[in-house]
Amino acid sequence: MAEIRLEGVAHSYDGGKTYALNPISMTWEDGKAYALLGPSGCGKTTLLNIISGLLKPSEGKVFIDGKDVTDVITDDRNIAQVFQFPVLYDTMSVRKNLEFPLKNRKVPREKIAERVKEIAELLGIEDDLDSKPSKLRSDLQQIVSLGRGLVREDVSAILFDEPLTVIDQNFKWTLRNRLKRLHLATGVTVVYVTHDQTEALTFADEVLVMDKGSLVQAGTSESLFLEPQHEFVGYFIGSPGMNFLDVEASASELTHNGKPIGKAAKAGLNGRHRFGVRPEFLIPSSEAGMEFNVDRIEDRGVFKLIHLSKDDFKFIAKTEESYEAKVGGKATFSFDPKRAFVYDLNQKFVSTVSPSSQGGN
Amino acid sequence: MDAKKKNNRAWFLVLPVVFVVAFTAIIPLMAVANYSLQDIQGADNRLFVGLDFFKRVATDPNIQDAFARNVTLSMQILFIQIPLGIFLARLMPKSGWKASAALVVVAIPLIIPWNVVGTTWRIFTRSDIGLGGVLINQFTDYNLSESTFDAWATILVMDTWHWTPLVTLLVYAGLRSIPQAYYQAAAIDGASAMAVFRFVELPKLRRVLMIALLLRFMDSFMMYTEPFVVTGGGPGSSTQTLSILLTTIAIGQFDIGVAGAFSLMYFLFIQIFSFLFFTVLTLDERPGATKVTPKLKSKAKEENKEKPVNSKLKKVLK
Amino acid sequence: MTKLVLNNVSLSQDSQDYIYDLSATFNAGINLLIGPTTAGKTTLMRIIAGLVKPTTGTMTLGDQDITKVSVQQRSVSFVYQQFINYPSLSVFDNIASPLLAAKKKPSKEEVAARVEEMATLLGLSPFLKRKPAELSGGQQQRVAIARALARKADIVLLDEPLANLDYKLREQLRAELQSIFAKESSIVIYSTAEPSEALDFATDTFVMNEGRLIQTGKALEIYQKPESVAAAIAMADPPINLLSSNIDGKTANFGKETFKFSRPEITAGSAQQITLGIQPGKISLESKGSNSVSFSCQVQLAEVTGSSTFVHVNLESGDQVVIEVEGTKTFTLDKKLTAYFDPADLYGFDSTSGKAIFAPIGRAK
Repeated sequence: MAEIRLEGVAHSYDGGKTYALNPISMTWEDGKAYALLGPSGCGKTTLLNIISGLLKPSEGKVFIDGKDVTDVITDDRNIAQVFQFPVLYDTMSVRKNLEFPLKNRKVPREKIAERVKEIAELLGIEDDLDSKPSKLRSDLQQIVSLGRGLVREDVSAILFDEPLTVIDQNFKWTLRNRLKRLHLATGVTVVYVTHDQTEALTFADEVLVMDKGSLVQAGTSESLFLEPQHEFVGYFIGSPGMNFLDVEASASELTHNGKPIGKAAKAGLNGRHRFGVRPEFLIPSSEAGMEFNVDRIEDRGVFKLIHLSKDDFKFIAKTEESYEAKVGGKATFSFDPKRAFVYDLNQKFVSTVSPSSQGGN
Repeated sequence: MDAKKKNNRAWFLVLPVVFVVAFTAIIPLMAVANYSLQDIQGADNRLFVGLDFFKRVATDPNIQDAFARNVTLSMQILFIQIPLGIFLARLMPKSGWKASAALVVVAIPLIIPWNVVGTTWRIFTRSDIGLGGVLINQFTDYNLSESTFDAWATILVMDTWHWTPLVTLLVYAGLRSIPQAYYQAAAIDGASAMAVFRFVELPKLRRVLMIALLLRFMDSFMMYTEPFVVTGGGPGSSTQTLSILLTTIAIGQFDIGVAGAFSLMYFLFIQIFSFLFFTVLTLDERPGATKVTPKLKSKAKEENKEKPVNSKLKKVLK
Repeated sequence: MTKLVLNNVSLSQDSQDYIYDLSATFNAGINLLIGPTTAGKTTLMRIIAGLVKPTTGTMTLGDQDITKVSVQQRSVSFVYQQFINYPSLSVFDNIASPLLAAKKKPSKEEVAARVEEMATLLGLSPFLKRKPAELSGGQQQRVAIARALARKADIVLLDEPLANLDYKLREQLRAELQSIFAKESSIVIYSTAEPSEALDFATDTFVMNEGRLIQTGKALEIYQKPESVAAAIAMADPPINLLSSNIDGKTANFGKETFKFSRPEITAGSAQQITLGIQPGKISLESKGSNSVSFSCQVQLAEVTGSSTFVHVNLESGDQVVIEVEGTKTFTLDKKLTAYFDPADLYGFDSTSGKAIFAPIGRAK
């Protein structure tokens, strides 16, 4: 168990011309579960490899429990890592694979047997312990890989690099729950890299959203969903992502093509901005609101996605399954004043927005 | 969709190869088979002798000695060159100009013609004017035309110099194809360098090493030019390989029938040995070994029915 | 309209069965194959492509029997999960490659025109001169799709084409693919393991499980009215809650709870064992009116996604249930809760055969 601290850590693979990871300083608290979320190429795996020591950062320092470990090799950092694809020792049986990290650390024989049995039970691979990994299905191989990461009891942190990529959709839920419970029960620090928002949001206490080598926003699932501080978070989290619209601000009154959209809570806002509201917070309204054309309705079983258009822009609203509208007809939507935002040209959050009293027409 | 018959014209493209192989391999082989079964005294005077020549080859003490000698030589070569090749490949730089430079240096012996290698070593090891021969003579008596040990050792060292690079290159290519994640996982598992070699590299190099072993066995078992140039098979017959002996019988003694039977047995031995070797080493890679069966599926389904994990968890995590 | 019809197709190798007696009709447009990893989706696509010969059965395309036609002669294109392009060819040449392989070579202008058309359709116009390795994963897969579409094959097979892409990119490409295939007259067969993808495409859906075709229909219909437990599981994300129950036409039970329950499908008085199913979103923590059935449970875990929270609870009997709650709620571990559901939302499956007995009331047929 340990606290991991990064001080100005940055990395460049080409000697400083471009940075895969821009300088980042932060503390990973002991016992918490973190998720690094972002599209491929955003630097999340680079950051993970810096923590595990597989990669030495070109700048900055890494501390584990206050000790500078920047130059300490992986083996001595006491960290477990699980990779995206099954990484197994071909010549060893599943059991030997699970025993391997413990044997290398001179754990007593009885203890090893006990521990391997427990982990195998937890992951449901008891019956496969004596098979060769190459004889197993690829998702079972990945579970064995996972087992090798979990088998050590004494680790400072467990790092997961998109571990469920090759696992079946339904089984993903089961495995994620087991990992989460394992985390709750052990209290070990966990860092989980993924590009799947559901995975990140459901697993972690704190999610770090990354884009283009920088940390965009860190927070709980709730805050990322409800109060995105950056347009990228609005876009990347939530499915579908946030609706955006270019607006012109004049004394905090927001207009699009001269038509009022809303009023920013912050006073004295002027110039070009972007307005953003999540599909979940576009609310069907019988009175005031914006009137849209209904282009398409997607019935997803438990909810509906209403594709709306108005003048030159399109919005998507997510409604209850019971919501009824006619394709080709009109529908009026308003938005939640606490959940609609305006962003500046750097895509940063500026203020919340309340609907225009005129009703947007 | 067009359902007309398969277009087989592509087979014509194979014809030239069939002709070439017919002239270079099949026809000469038939001729050899022909010689091995008849005693040919003159153009119109031939006698069918059945397997007599084969029996003579099998019982000839000279051939038996040469066979034993050649097996010993091949084993020694494999025993030295395979580990040495792996060792060198692991020492080579992994990327950048250094890697290219190392590759070129390592590959040099491979692009020198056989008889040039022989001639070079013949001169190099001469005890009067050869750089190597004179140098060794400073410490110990060395003369490959008199000492059997010296001659044998020279052949071994020369072949190792000439052919270890082949093993090195093959292994180097094999090593480069191992995904970085395996090394990373091993580092995280706390594996020692030895363990990384044994459990990551060696298994991943299996196929490559198999090819290296086969090639080196076949080449060394057929070795001719270099010992012929360096020692001529001597002193006595101490470095006489099967190939050298065969040539002596066929051209020196003009014993065509025996030579024909010898050639066929030689050829078949290498074929059969290589086949057995390959089969044994690929035994657990036969198709069907890793097949995904629909039946396995039911297990995953059981997984989905979450068992009461909690009690188990509490146990696992103390 | 051309149709692809499979009649009693089966495949077994080395005494292992891979596809069992499968009959299906695929129409022009997108046909969705859904099922877990080992359901046999890829195997079926390989059979359709002609890469594998079926052990028994026939396939007809339009009025022509194509069972024995070799893969080279079939008008088929295949897009794989991995991005497979010719690495040494430019994007232009990659897209043009299937055109040049055709028997009647099109003219240079025709090739250029078709490549341009494909590139525009898939948003690849700026990259035509680049090599595939210089593109992002999403762009590489688009090149593979463009290549598959370029030759106007009768059958286009896409085997989990988006599985290796980022979540957001998947969302975007899914929408693009729908509009692209709407314009093509090919029979498109698209396999996926993700229920959300099936619901998104909202098209003819074929559910596969263990080498069998277990249900066909529109995605939403299958979701609402699965014919078997396997189909319900394959179409549910998050997974459906399944509990075993004894039912006698008047009451039903699960765990330690018993409630009044009758359905016309259940004969009164005949006790039988069934599996009850309910979507996590159909259980709530507030009463849903007089019909609600309540049960007590204990919190094991809460997963927050922002828009909703998945609460994993244990019943007194030890059975586990997942409840989806709107918005973000925090729960303390081991806290006791009372949860409610409307019996009208229940699915019922035969506990031995897995066949559906009843589906939620008030849902579309």
